[in-house]
Amino acid sequence: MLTQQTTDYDTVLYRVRPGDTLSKIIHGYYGRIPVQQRNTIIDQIQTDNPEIKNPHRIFPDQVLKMAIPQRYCTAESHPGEMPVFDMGEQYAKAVQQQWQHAATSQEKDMLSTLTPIMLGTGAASMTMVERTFKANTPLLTEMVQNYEAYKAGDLRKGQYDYRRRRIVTQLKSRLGPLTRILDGTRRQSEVLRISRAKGRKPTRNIRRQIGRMGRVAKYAKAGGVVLAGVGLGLACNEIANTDDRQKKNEILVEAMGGLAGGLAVGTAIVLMFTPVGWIGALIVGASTAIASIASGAGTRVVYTAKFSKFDIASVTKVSQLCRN
Amino acid sequence: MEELDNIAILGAVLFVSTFVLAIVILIYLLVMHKILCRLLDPILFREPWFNATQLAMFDSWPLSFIKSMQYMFLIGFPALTLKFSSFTNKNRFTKRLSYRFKGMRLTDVPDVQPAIKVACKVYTILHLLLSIVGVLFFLYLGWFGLFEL
Repeated sequence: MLTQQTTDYDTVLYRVRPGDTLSKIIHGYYGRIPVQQRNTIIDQIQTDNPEIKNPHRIFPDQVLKMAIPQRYCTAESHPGEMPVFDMGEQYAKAVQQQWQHAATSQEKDMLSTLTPIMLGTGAASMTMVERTFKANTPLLTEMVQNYEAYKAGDLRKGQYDYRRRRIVTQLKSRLGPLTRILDGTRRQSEVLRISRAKGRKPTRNIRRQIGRMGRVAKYAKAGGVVLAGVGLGLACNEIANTDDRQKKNEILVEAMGGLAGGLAVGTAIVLMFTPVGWIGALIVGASTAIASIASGAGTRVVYTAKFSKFDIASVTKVSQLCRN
Repeated sequence: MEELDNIAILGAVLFVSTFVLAIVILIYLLVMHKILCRLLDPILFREPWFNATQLAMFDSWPLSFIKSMQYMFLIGFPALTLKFSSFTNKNRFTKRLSYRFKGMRLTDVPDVQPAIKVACKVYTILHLLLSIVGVLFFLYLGWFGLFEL
């Protein structure tokens, strides 16, 4: 079975283009192969994509999940291939499900553009950033090992070059927009180059990237915690920088109302539903954020209209706590 | 000090109770999350109780808190949680939005110490209370915006 040997296979999402057939797609990856092997691969694709009832009928914009042996995943990417984060099966399944639910071609185009952006924002994406970097760090370690094996004479130049190219391509497609976090606008192959400078370890650049990926994963994890506190921190700073008593109180009640309203809506949503996928998780996060903003603004209005005589900031000692 | 009318008092009560409950739940959840992840992850955090995407999602902060909330609902009120889960998992309007402990039976619910059970019950009640008070608070804000300004 193809999918059972998961360590030797890459999960690829392929967006069918006009004129594509399963045989043509397989040829794009495997090159010329015996008919029997091609039929086995077609059977496997059908098993992985139950919506394909007839292998001779696939449609443009349909997304196919395929397990391709790593040795056939060449350095240059295939035209219909979509970027896959290293969430492996789970991520591929989630994207494929969302894709099947999108009705029109425009919706699909929009989804493919929005998905990485959505994954790059919000609290839920903090989890994803952490997991993606953690999961891909071994690829860079493999790159260092390959170089050391090449220097020791265990790998030929061609083999080493091929493996390096493959890792760079894999990293580029798996990290997607997150690559920018690591190297800004520079090319991955340039960032992961072997150092030729005298007195420096040749693998210094790659090791530096390994460290950076580990740090970003750690920051992403902490980032969520920090984000939760940022609102209150900003409010405290604003209170400290305001002399007007009324303003201090308005900022305070807005922060308190925002925190309470956001949490209340978040708990109410979780009580009713549990997000099924990443998109659902982002929607829950966004609803909580919107509720937080709305309740904060609402509380401020109510305070100004009905309670402006009460100096809550002084009574609760917040104005003493938040000082320059 | 100026007298407050009934509308203002109602608003103050709703705001204070939502805020206090939110803070209590936040701290409660942090503590229970630490305890329950260690205790229940090896037993419950797997397929088919969670689907593959959720196993990836709920593995790290902050989404892992949703998993802890689910554990507490299940341990606190197993029959009610499983009944509601089964309804949302099968209902054609909600099955794409919710997936909780699919196929779990009462006999599959892990047995935990009575203290943990009580803590989970208390959490679930507080969670429900915050949701109700929160909704009332939002209704109040909406009503205030429409008719009092």
